[in-house]
Amino acid sequence: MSKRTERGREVQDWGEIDVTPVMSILVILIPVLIFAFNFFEVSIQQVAAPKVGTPKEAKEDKKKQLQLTVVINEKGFTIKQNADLVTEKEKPIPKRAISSDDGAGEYDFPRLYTQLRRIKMAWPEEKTVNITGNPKIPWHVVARTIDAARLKLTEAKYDSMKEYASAEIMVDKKTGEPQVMFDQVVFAVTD
Amino acid sequence: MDPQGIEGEDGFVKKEKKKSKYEVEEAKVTITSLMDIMTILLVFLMVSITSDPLNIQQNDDLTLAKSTAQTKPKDSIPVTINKRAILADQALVAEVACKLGAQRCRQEDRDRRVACRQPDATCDPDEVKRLDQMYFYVEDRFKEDGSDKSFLIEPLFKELEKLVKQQKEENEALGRTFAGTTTMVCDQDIPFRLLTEAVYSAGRAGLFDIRFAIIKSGER
Repeated sequence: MSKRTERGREVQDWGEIDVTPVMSILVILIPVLIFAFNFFEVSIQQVAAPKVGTPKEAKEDKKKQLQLTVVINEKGFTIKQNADLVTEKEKPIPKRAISSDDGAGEYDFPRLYTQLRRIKMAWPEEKTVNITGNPKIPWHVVARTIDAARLKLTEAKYDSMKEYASAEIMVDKKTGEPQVMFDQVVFAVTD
Repeated sequence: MDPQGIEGEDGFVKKEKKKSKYEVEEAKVTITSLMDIMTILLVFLMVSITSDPLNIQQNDDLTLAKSTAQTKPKDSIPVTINKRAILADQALVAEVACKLGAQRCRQEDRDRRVACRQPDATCDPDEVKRLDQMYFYVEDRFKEDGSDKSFLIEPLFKELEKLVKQQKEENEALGRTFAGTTTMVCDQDIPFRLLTEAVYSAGRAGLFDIRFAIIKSGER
C-alpha cells in the first residue's frame, strides 16, 4: 500500500504490525514458565560424611576432644560428651507435650539449644557436633536439630517454643556475620 | 448558532444527521503496553529458572524440610532422594522401598498420608499415628554384598564415582580445582538411616563436601 505526502513524494505505508501471534506465544509460554518457577527459596545445610562406629574409637587422639554428640531418639534428645571431660551427668531432654503439624514440634528444641549453648560457653573453641540417633528419625527432625546447634541466638536460654521459633540470630558487631555455635555437623552412626 | 446544528452556506442551519443506534465505531485495543509487560515477565522467569542450580520441583514424593540455614546453593552434583527413588544427577540409580509395619506400603496408604497432612484434613489421630510409621529404605540387593548392615548403596556409589571422574576431567581441562561437592535433595520424611547411607556412599565416591537442600524458613 502506498500514499502520497504533502510534497508529492510517494511513501510506502506498512500499516500496523500484527502482534497477535507473538501475544499468543507469550500467553502460552508465561503460564508454562510460572509453573516451572519455584516460589520458595532453597538454602543448604552442610554436613560431613558419617563416622561409622562408636564415638569411643576416636579416643586415640592425644588431645582430648569434647566429642559432643546429640542423640535423637523417639523419646527425645540426649547430649553426650567425652566421658573424661563430662562435669555433670547427662540428662535426657524428653519430648514436650505440644503438637504441631509435622510432629517435630514435640521435640524440645528450646531446651536442646539452651543446653548446647551452655556447653559452648564452657568449650568456646569447640565447633563440631556429631548427630546420631534412631535410624527411623525423619530428616525434618534432624534438620531442625542441626538448626538448634548451628548458630547462637540472641538469648542464652529459651523456655517456650514460640520464643525460640521467632528468636533472632546473634550477629558479630564488627563483622556483621552470624555467631556460630557448632557449625561443623557430622552424621555419626553406631553399629 | 444553534448548538445542535451547523450553519450552511445559505445561512440555514442544517440539523446534524442523527447517528443510528446500530452504528458502532470500530474499537482498537492497544496491546503494546501488554506486550512490554509480558516480555519483561518472560525474561525475568527465564533468567530465574536458568540461574537456579537445583531447580527443585516439589510434589507428594519430594517435600523439602524447613530450616533457617542461609547458605546459598552452588553448582554441584545433585543427589535426589524422594519417597520412591534415588537419583544421581537426574539418573535413576536405586528404588526406595516403603514399609508400614510388617507390610509394604500400598498406594492408598501413601495417598491417605498426603491427604491427612493437608491443613484442613480431618483424619483420625490413630490413623495419622499409623501412617507416620511409614518407613523408607533401600533394599539389601542394592547394598554392598547384599548385606542389611552395609551403609554403601552400590548403584549410587558407582554412578557418583562415574560423575566424579567426569567432573575431575572437565575441571582439569578447564584448569579448575575439583571441589567434591554434592547437594542432597531429600524428602523431609526420609529416615536418618537412609540419609547416612547416601552420605556415606557419596563420601566413598570422593564427594566430601555434602550439602542438604532445605527450604529457607523464618521460623526454626
